[in-house]
Amino acid sequence: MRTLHFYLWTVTLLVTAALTVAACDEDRSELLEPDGAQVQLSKTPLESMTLTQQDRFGIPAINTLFVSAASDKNAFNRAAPENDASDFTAIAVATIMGRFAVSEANATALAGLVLPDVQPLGDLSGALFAGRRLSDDVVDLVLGVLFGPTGLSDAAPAPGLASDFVDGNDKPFLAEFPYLATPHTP
Amino acid sequence: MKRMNAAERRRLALLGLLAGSATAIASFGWLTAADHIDSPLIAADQSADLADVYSFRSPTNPDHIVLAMTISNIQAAPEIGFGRSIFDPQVLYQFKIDNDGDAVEDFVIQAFVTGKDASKQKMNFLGPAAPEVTGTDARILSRSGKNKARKGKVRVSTGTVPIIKSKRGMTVFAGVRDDPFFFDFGQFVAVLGGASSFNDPGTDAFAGLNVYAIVVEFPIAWLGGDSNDLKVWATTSRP
Repeated sequence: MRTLHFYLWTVTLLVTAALTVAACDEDRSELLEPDGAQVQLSKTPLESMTLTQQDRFGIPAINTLFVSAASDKNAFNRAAPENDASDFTAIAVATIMGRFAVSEANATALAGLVLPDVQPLGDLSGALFAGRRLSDDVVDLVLGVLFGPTGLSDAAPAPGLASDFVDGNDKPFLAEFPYLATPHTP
Repeated sequence: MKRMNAAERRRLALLGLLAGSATAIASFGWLTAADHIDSPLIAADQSADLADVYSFRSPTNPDHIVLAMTISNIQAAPEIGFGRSIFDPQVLYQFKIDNDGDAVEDFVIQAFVTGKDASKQKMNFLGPAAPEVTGTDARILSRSGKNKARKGKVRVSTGTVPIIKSKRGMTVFAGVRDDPFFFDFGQFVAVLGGASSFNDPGTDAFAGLNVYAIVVEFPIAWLGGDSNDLKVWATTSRP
């Protein structure tokens, strides 16, 4: 099961390693609103209405990888995580077994780790802080779980399939808020 | 049942990786991603289609958390998204945080745009605060009374310079950015067609693409102090 732990906890380790955080308080005074000014939110047509969930996202690629039928995909996007284990475990296990040539035992374990579909942040008060950084290579994490040295697929190990060999973004992420890279210009 | 050889199994496995993306034959043809266009219904609703969610400790303040969601599947051409937001005033965008392990949100951060002109939208923020309703239904947080939520507002950025607002510990952004996702989707398709492996180095199919993003940063302590079992996800909702 080391690969499963790898999938969920590599990010934690990466973040820990990267926590050479310079605790500097940015001076963004030119961006601040006048202090103490009341923020008046604009009127929204959504006020007082009961709204219905259209899409959701927790762990990368769960719906894409582990739910196969179109009707199930729609249902998954409109479901609440609290019901994931009961409503989607069987679907996910069958999909993982069928698509990735993974044994039932491993498929069940993998489904148990990714359902409910919520992104774990870890211990925010301590040194460990998981979650998902912009630079995390989630494609390689998933490919590694399936095709890495101890991959879950019967086809593993398959080194040429255990990574897409794209290790980072095309533009540098920013050191400051909003962190996402500058958009591409027309 | 026929026994597959290793090559067949590999192809089947990779087919699985692709099949989930619904092949995404949109105007730009072939994009997928961590969650871009991940179901038939949501593929038809660009403004409510979540592409990715990120959560990490702020690089500039270790006491702060950063949450980011990216929206829309095919901000493929740079001409799309400049000067015109894809945020829809009829959509409520939410970050949800569970702090006790039951996968039910204890806090939400809500965001919604206002303004008729897509070039002059404001993104309004409420929270983090305890929601009135949990699960697949949602309601706008109360802005008054003793449970009133924190409020914020920022103009939606439709150009290269991010418009940022920071107030009482909460920093917010909404607008167009580079798509942070990276993946050699082209070779992935080639592998499905019979290629035996990815290329080293690969080619990032998401290079040059933009998305719309909502990014917030605020003190971790607002989410319940020393909890070490925090979970986050994002949702989009409509009337």
